[in-house]
Amino acid sequence: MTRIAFLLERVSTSIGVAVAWLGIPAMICLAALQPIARWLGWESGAPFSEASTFAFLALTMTSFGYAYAQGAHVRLDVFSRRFAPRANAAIELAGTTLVLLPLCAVIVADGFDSAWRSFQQGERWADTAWALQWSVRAWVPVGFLLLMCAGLASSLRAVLAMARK
Amino acid sequence: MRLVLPALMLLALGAALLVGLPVGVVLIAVAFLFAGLGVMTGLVRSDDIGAIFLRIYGTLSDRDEIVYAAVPMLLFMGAILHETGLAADLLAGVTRTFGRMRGGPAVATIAVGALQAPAAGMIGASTGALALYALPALERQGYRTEQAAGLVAAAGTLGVIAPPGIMLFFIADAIGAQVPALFLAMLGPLALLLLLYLGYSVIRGSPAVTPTTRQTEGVFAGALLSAGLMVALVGIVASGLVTLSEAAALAAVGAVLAGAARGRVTWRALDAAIRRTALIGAMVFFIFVGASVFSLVFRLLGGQEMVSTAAAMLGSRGASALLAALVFVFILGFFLDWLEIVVIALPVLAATLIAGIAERLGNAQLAACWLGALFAINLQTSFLTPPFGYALFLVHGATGGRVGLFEVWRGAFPYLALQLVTLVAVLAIPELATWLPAQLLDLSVPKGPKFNE
Repeated sequence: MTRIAFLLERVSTSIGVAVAWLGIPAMICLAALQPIARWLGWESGAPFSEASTFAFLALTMTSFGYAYAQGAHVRLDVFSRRFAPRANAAIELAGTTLVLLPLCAVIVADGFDSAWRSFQQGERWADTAWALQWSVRAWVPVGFLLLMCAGLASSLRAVLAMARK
Repeated sequence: MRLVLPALMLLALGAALLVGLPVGVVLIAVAFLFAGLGVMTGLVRSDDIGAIFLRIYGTLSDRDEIVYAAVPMLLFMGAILHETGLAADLLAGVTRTFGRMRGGPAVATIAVGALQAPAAGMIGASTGALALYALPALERQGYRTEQAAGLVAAAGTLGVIAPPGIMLFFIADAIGAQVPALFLAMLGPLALLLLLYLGYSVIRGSPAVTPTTRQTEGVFAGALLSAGLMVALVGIVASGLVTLSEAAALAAVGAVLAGAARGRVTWRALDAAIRRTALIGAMVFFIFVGASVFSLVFRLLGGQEMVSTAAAMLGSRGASALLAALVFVFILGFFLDWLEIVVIALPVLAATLIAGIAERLGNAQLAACWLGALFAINLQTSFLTPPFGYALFLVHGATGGRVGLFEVWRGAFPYLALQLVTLVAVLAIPELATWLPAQLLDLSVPKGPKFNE
């Protein structure tokens, strides 16, 4: 069980880091080149900004799971710091199984649906002729799937912590 | 009943946050619980619940909200400055410049705090770094621990209200102000607050000064590079030649180049900066998504009406409603994080206040600037007030618990008082915030200069 939790966290973390490595430089280059392109008189607004939306969504969505796996999300632990480890584990288990995992499941299902529809209808990407809009939409379910992995790992760890005497 | 559920919802949130689950998860859990209660009591139609999913989906993917793309880029810039040691150079350089004058080390700490704006999105980054570098230095200079810790906590909160701080984005977004206009609006109040802080430090004086002589070479170059970068960033945003995201991207490139010029951009530093950017970005946007779901349900339950009713009792046109709003936000600051307050409370409060203020100031955009500046300073105080003042925790934590929470607070208390003085001054003299944007920007268009989009 520890190994499964470790693997799940590894998936969220490595995808999150990989996308960050691609997404952040891409976003910066796209946005930094835009004023230069404008200065040279190129008309390129819409695809440019659509591409940075793409990179931003990819980065943000995949970072949720990464941050969860690393325990980086903000928690108010003024009181819970003083709870027994088992009580905290029980709270974490309830939080993940009752809220986080069902929420992720719904968004993943809805999101894939929306991306799939977009793909079938050939939704265009910004002002271009390319029917690639589905790829932008797909980041939402992908991101929440990774968050689900991290949440699942966290609930497994909570179960282990509660079973420990 | 219509007024009871929203109030209960806020109370439930306050209580549930203490459980210690991630704030974003708590926000969504409370939202779902109350959406369910709303359906049972017939206040919310079950169809409306579907809007919650669209909300999560739409919050970040909305094409009009491209402005959020600037947030990770600014965070990256801050992370690069931190990882390449340029931020530390800045502190060292400024300390050396002011070190010999009366109150010098304190002045240096304050100056650096204000220049750390982009790293202050999650105030942790800036205050943590400041505590790490400045606290030992101050103590070496003979400052009492309590005094030094309070000073660091107070200086750390400066970056929160200084442009291009991340908080200002979300405030501008919440109350419908232009981001560049709010940046400019903050400069006046910030200058006043800095003046007060600096005046206090100089009057208070410093203990016997023993200038530390560490390796000096290159520190000034690093300090100049990083300070110049911040000033340039705010300058080009104000010029209106580029959009916010473009300015942020240029600044990020600038930070990398500056680091490279000092020969400190290694793969390890880049990797650390990218990971830090992703993690802090995730913290901010996860809470943002949760808070927007929460505020959607809050509105469905009649939260807007509850606030309007309360405001109407105080007279929505009068200064009393504004004052009540500020006090309300101050109290919320005792138990909520700034981002929840900005996303949940500010839109509701601004909606009831802005018309009256616009009538008084003669321009809706200027009204938004003034209101934004007031709320920003107001929220800044929440970082220094117990029991949940983040800056206090951070300094307490950064010293490994060596300095007690209460001690930090006692040390920071004079600065908190100065923040309140600034708040009152901006309240009394709106021009402190509105003069600069009115001079430099064309505010007659309702939602800001249309950039190339």
